[in-house]
This record gives sequence, structure tokens and C-alpha cells, in this order.
Amino acid sequence: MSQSPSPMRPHRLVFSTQDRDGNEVRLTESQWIRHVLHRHPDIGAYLDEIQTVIRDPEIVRLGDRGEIRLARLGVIASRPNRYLRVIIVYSDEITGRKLGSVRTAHLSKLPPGGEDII
Amino acid sequence: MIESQFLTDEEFDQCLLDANKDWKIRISREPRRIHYDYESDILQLKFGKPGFAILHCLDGDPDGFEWVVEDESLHIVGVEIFYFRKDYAPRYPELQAAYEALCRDCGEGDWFIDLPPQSETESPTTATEFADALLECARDPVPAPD
Repeated sequence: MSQSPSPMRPHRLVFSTQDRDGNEVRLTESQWIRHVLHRHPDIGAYLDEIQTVIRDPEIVRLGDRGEIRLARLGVIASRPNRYLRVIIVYSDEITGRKLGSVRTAHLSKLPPGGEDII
Repeated sequence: MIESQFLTDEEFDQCLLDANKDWKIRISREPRRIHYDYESDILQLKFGKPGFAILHCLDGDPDGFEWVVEDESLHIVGVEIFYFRKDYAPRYPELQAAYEALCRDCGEGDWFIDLPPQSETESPTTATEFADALLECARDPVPAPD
């Protein structure tokens, strides 16, 4: 009951891209399946759009627990009046650069809450 | 089908309320799935097999709580809660107790728990009690008629 139903290779990358500040953001197979697809299977076809939001967000907000909430309106063509929201958690690497991991992605009519980050 | 793509926020909320006047009866007939992502601390309770869904926060919903809404019918098809373990559950003693009971049965970690419809549940389990407690704590999205 408490086991994941899907076999996965947890560290295999689904993608690696850069955020607007040049930090690497990764989505592993484990994160993709466990954090995104199980809750929001309807956005499974929109990996490119998720990367677009990471690289070029319209909205960047800081959440209560330090997570970064990105969003972009209309990035999914069939839903022009919906925000694609992507939540990223960053960790500091030894090199001093930040490494981000995608925690979830979903559509919403409204932008994410939180404090604007310029 | 409701063409909800270009409604104003106020129109959207009104359509959402209109589409969900019978939501408690409707969801009581649907199978349920609890999905808890322990690492991200995100809990989702879904009803039936929704189509394209969005998350929507109604004015007055507590922080971290969002309704999962089927984007064309505007039917409520679930709830999703961010920071469930760290923030949300501790605000509601009955929900916290139900969560702890489920942890004792299933262990801490990720959960994927399929449940029968509420209307077909003959004897409660810690999982059905947890799902019921979750909905009890949620603000009713459709105000009771005067």
C-alpha cells in the first residue's frame, strides 16, 4: 500500500536545463513520476513547456518554506488562459552554485502565491 | 461543457459554485485515491478519474489548500495540500490524529492508497477515516442556501 506502483530509475535525468539566473535545474525520473505524473497526469505531454517556464518565467515568487514558485500564462497552447506553475527547491552545492529540483508542476487559473522575487 | 478559458475570476468562481451544487453526493459515489508525496509534503485526495484538471484556490481557502477542478466541467475532483505534514494537519486536531493513525498502519513515506466510494464503504479503516477527516476540515466550496 505504501510502495510506489511504478518501477523507475530514480537518478536518471528527464531533463536538465538552466533557470533565468543560469542555475542548473534538474528533473529526475523519480521526481517526474512521483512528484508530477502521479498527481497531474494531464500535463505529462508538456515537458517542453515546463522547461520554458523554468528558463523564462513570467512570475517568480518565494514560498513560505523557501521554495521558488514559477509561472507563465498560456504556455500550453490549448489552455491559453491558464498558468503553468512549476515549484522548484534549490540546494547549495559545494561549488557555490545552486542546484534546483522540480517538485511539482500543474495548471491553475491563478498565479502562485508568495513574495515576488525581482 | 463550460467554456471556462476566458472567464473573469468572479465569473469563474460563480461557474465553479454552480457546477458543484451536488458535489458531496457526486464524490461520495466515486472511488478515491490518496496520494502522499512525503519528500515534497504534498497530499492529494482525488475522486474518480478526472480529465484535464487545474488547481484552484477559492477566496478564503487556507494557505496551501487547493481544489483540483476538472477544467471543462468545472467539477471538483479532488483536493491538494502543500506542506500537509508540516503546516496543514497540525492546525486540525482530528485530521492530525487520523494522519498519525494512518502512519501507524502504513508507515511514514509515500502513499498510494485506493479506496472504494464513500457510499460503498461498509466498515471504516484508518485510510477511509483519514479521507473523511480531510474533507471535514476543508471549507465547503459551495455555501449552504439561506
